[in-house]
Amino acid sequence: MNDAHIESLLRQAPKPPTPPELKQRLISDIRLSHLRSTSDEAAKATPFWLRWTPALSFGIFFLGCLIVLGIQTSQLLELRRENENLRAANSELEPLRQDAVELERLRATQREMEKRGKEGEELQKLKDEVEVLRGQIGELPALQAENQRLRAEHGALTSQASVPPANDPFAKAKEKANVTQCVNNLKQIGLAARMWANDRNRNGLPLDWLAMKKMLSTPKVLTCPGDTARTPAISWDQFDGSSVSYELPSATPDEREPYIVYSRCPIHGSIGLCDGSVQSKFDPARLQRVDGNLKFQNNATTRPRP
Amino acid sequence: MSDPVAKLCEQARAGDREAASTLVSLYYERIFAWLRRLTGHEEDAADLTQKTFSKAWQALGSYQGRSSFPTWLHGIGHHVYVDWRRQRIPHEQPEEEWWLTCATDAPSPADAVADREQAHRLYLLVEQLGEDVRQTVHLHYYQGLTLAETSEALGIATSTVKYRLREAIEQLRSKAAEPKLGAR
Repeated sequence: MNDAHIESLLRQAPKPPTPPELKQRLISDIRLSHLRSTSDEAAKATPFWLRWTPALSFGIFFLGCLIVLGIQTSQLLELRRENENLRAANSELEPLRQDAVELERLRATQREMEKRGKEGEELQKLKDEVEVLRGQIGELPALQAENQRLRAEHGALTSQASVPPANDPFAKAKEKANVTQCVNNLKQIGLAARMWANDRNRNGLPLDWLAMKKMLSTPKVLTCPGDTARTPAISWDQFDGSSVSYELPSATPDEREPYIVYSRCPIHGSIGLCDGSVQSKFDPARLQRVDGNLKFQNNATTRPRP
Repeated sequence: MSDPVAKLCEQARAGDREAASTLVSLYYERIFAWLRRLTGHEEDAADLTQKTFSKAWQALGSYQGRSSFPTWLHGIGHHVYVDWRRQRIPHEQPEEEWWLTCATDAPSPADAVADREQAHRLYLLVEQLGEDVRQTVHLHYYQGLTLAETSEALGIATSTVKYRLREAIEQLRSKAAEPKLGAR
């Protein structure tokens, strides 16, 4: 049996007989009612809005996308415009920045100039002060010489103890020497007070003796030679204030006020004024207390000796 | 699909019962014969035929006419048969052999008794083939479907149909050459 014969036999296979009632059963079993309409009925059964929901959804989504795109485009254009404006403003800003830098530099220069001007004024003031002090220092040898002379006289007088003080011809000289020494002390006190004020760049003079500690070479100058009740302090270490003969009668002594009394000797009545000068012989009525300060009345006939 | 059958399908889809009856008349014998050969039982074949047409009417709305109506009907029948076979008791033998029921009235493959014996032996050998190959032989040779129609009805590729048919012929030839048939 070859392949063709096999295929031929298979194709000629007999057909089994069909049961007679099968056709009737099949025909009676036909159910076509549900087939009518199919898509049309489904379309009619579905509500209008439900049928169009996919299209409407897509349309709404598309519209939303368009709106968002439009808003974003608008914002983009706005940002671009802002960017352009900022660029333009930035280009104008550069000269302004340079001007500001220049202005700042000029201000710094001005401040520097003002500072230097002040320093110059201060320097000039100090120079003037140094000149005055030099002049005063020039008087110092003469005063020291006089002091030496008076000491010598005093030594001679003490050697003649048998001579009574009233008739002692050296007593007057001693007293005169004491007055001179007292005046010298007041001058040194005034000088030290003004140096103290200059060092601190102030006009007010000190009201404390210890404040002038560094300006005075020795605390001996704070004891009047005529004050026999007090013993001069040898050094600042031993100074306790008890050796001070002089008083500071003014509450607010100021070196700009030359007629205000800065220091006064209660024994000799000599006064040291705020400008550093000393008055030893004057009418006590010329002293007046004004605003807590003892003021020496300026008289054209008797000007204070510098 | 021929135009008259297509028109009948359209009418049946539109609810024309007469057209549906005509379609039944045209194809019920062919479907029954096919299922009768596959199942080996007349009652089962009748039931499966009824189920096939019932499902066809239900699915007629979705029938797009891409394949011919008989091919589409064979596809439905194939699924109905597969479902039936799953529920069937395994290895249940047919009550009778279908060719014996139609030996008298069906056209004989050959006039000679020897040829008839040979044909009967061949049909018996077909029933001993594997299930897939057997179904392919039934559709292509017994039902007369083309290769494309067979592949569409079975839901497989045309090349697979060709392979299965070649396999079937080879097996049949080798077994037919043996001196005696296997146990039946």
